[in-house]
Amino acid sequence: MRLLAIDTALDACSVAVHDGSGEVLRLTTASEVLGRGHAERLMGMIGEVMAEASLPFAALDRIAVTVGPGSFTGLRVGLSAARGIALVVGAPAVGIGTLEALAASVSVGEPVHAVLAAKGGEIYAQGFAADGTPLEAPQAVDAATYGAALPPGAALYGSGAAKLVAASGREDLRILGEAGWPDIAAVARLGTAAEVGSHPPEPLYLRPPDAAPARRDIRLLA
Amino acid sequence: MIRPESASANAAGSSFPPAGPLTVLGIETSCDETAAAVVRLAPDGDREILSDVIRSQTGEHEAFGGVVPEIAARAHIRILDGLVSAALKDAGVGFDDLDAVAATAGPGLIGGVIVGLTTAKAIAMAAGKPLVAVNHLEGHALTARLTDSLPFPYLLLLVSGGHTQFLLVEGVGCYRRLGSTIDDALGEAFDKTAKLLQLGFPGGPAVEKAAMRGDPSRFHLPRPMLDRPGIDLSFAGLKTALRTTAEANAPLSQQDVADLCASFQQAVTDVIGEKSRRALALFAESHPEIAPVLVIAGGVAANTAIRARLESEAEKAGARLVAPPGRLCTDNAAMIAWAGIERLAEAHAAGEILDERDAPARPRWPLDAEATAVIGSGRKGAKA
Repeated sequence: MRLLAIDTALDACSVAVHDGSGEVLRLTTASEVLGRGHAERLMGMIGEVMAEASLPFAALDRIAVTVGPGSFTGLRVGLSAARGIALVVGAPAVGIGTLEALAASVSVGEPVHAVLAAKGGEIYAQGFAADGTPLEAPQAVDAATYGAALPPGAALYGSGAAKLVAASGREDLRILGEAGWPDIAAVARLGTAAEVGSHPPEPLYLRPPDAAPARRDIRLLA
Repeated sequence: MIRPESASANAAGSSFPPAGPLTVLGIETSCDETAAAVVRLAPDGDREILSDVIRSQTGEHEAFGGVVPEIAARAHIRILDGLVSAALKDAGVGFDDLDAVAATAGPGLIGGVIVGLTTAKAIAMAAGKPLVAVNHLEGHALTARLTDSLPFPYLLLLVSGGHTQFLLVEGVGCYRRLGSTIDDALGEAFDKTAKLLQLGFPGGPAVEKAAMRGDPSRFHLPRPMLDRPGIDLSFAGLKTALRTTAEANAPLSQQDVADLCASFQQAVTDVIGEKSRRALALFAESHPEIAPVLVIAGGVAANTAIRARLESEAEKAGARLVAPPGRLCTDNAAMIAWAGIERLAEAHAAGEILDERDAPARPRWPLDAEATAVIGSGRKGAKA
């Protein structure tokens, strides 16, 4: 399968082209840590990686993109690009959860909880079995509450791990690594395996927009 | 379909229209309308809107009494690719048939602009077509050339929820801002009035409807900046005056609400009328050789009282008033595709290749780069 993978959900702006399979599998990748400005860099990076892989857009079988959780704007940058390309190429775009890709970035042969820091006392978290099967839906959750419910000695991975440990006071938890974004190769791998219908390329914000309904000034009207 | 009576109505020189037809896909996502359209310019000068798809998000913002940027951005990403498909299907063209993809790159709500511009860049790159990064205001400024084949120069009054300004349009890329609001846009003032008086969103039609039953002389509201020379406008103070008056008269009966709306509408009509008179006079000074033309664009241009006043000011100044159809006056993608065509045609005529695939999304982007920053314009919202 010839697949283009895109991740702009967090601080990295990453692109990969996955071409062939088995022993002839080729993976061409580019990744830059930007923090912000993904929209300015992404298309140039896609062009560079496609050129390096000598692949025309029309040859793509699939586009994989991380859908969140992550920066709201960042998610939409990646999704806009993936869906725009998919529209022209006529190939499906599949959405890959950021936490799933994060868990797939570390290979440990045991259950792992992918954790990213969110606003306030919250984290984004999702647990996975040793074979990568999700144990729960991705969630935005209070760090202390999530930590308290983890089994003894549970393995954590991701930039929110230290926050979870500090908030829950669970010294028994093991931090495998504190990566702030998934490995783009993991996104490509999951994208190749994903079932198209059950992985819509739609943002997974996990938080509502910051907006308060208009207040009604009841004193004003009779 | 819009066809001018004669291609010779165009005064842009021998380079326009271009040798071959130009077909451009336009994308607009700078505020609360998601839109895609395909427009074609034929070698004989015929302009044709092949498709024009718009989805308004009004319902999603209603509870908030105004456009919420994050809600707008979420709505754009949800439906934009589907709208592009629909626009191409309606037009009966494929990606291969396009000469370029044009998208609004600003000014506007940045989250939405990023969705539209990134989608457009992706389509352009995958289809191997150039990208034209269009200034939303330029889309409004050139619409009358799409609908009415209007020659340059002309005067434009853009009055919408995000913008209120007078522009002297002298050519593609040649815009002089004669005056602008220094704070709120006029459409925003209508929305805030409606919000205060609980008339719903969008506020323009609601306030206008209530005003029809009201007495415009009952409350004397200020006419901001009328006592000062120049063409700049201001509506923030009027908003405060309206609130103070409303609070002083609370509890408000339905008639009080109607009278407040009528008084507000009268105040802004007086301001727009007088500033238009001054702008027309300035136009006559800069271009004494031609009869002045005043083009109006933006949602507020649909207000009957304001429209009537503009007609009378134009008549007094011996000017022609051009009002493109309502659908093309408010935010749409046909105007973005058309602005893309105009810029492509210019580039082709100059023997240049136009491809702005590296253009950034810009929350602020004045059309007139020479214009000095307007006091107070560094506020939230879509300003330029």
